[in-house]
Amino acid sequence: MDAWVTILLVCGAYLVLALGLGVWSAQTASKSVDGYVAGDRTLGTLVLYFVIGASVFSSFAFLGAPGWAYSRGAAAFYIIAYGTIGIVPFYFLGPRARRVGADLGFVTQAEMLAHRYDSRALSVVLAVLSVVVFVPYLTLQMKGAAYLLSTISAGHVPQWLGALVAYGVVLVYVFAGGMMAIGWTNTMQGLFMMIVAWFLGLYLPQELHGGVQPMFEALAASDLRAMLTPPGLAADGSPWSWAGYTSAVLVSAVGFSMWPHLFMRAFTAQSERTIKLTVVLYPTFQLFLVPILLIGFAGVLPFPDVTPADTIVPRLLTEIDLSPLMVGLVCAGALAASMSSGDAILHAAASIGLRDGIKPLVSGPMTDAQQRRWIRGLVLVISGVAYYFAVVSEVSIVALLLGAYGGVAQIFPLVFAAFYWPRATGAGALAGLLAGVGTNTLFLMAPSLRPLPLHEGVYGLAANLIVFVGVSVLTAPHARSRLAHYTPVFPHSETAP
Amino acid sequence: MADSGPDLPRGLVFRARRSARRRRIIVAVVAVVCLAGGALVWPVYPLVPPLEPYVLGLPFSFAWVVGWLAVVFGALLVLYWTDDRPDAE
Repeated sequence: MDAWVTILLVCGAYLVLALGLGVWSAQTASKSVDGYVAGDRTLGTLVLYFVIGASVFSSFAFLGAPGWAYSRGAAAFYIIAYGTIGIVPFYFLGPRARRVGADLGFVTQAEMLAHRYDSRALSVVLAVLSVVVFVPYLTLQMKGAAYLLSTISAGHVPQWLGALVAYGVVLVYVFAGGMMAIGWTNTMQGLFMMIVAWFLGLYLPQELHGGVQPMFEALAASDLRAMLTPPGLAADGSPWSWAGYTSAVLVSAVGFSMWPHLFMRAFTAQSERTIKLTVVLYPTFQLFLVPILLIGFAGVLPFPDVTPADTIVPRLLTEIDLSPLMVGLVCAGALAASMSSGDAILHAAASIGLRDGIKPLVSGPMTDAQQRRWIRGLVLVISGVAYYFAVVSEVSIVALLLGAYGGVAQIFPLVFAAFYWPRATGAGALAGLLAGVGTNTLFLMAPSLRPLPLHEGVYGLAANLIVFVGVSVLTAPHARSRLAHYTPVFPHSETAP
Repeated sequence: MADSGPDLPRGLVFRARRSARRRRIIVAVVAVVCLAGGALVWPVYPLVPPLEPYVLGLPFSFAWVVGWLAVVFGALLVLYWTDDRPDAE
């Protein structure tokens, strides 16, 4: 049997397992919107741990991140740095969001913010922002899966077919099971990703260099020594600036817990303790970035000039002498990384599209059955659009996603103030968000206008804060009955009568 | 907006009901996280030696980042464990 057939069989077995698990889990949730979008608010720590971890780490984990280490060296440490601090705010914000969500029936971040700030416009703006970010994000996941399957099958599986099969599976289980399908498949996928990363990250340095330290010593002795000196190299191979590195870490850390598909997991937790414990344990998942980066470093000396850099892992897999069974397992792990983010993004985009984009614009109430039909319809449409961009369209969508990190960070002031600043108003929130996203986009499109070489998100956050605070102070505050859901101000306030 | 009075706090409001001990722990953990954030960016991180000594095979600047991940993990564990106390909320 040809090696590629064995590899594909292993990947196929993984896909069947994911499909079966996802479809089976559909019966564990109620048929309500709460059941489909938030898993009936019953997720325990184990499932939530893997849902968060596996959703954070997309196909970027096995393609982009090793590519960063391979081509930009120490610059890749930034990926570990921002997650380290970025998860912490969720320890405080997550439980509060969960409580409000359970009290008032919210299942998305925008729903909660629209209520706190009493603004339907805010809800629609956030819905548009989410979908604009999620479609390219999902497209990249499809491209990653398609590229991987085509490379390891030596071209026998064309890209259109690879994307169709992998995301056909995702489509079916998200359609059938919603949040519960994501919960159970991500548990399997997350476990799989961790095992594969640790195996490959320790095996490759050993096999190619005789160990991790000898690998770095050989790198340090070569003419590529500069790449090991923080902050590493920029995309063009010149040394990265400290201003660029520092601002990228800070903006990404601010945005980290604000990704709508991650933040809305707060509403799925069975208790506040569950969210807190998940946040506490998250760094143990994040640690798997260490072997991920080692994989990239392992390729530098033996395989120079691999372009684009994020193809280094498939390249290594085809070059090293590893049994087809093992290569198949590694590929399945990489597919798991792509699909476990893709399913969360697809589910979130459809849920947010209905709850925050369509429902506020429809007059009259919608039944749970109607909402589920809408969300499932959107799951189909969004998959179709992303598939079109992934295989048919030639339009480059990477630029759209690059702008996303700075854009998502703009939600942070709104969420923080929702709980900690009673004086914040809807007009302020909407104006701040628009100013932040606008400024971020401007400096992303026209980098030459930046006064200092900082991440565009820094300028966005500055504009956001000034406008948010300024407009809030100038507009009338919200009713105390509304604020009381978010901030325990009144009975405990020292100035209260 | 009828019931919003002049007593609405103008600044940030953090939960007031916690015990003094709990507040101290939260402040300490937040301080450790800020310390970690500071240690991972300019101007502290450039002072860290890039290569030697190697720690568990990793260049020092790499191990430094992983080390702070471990420190934050420890701080969060403390925060969670002490949260269990009846006087916490």
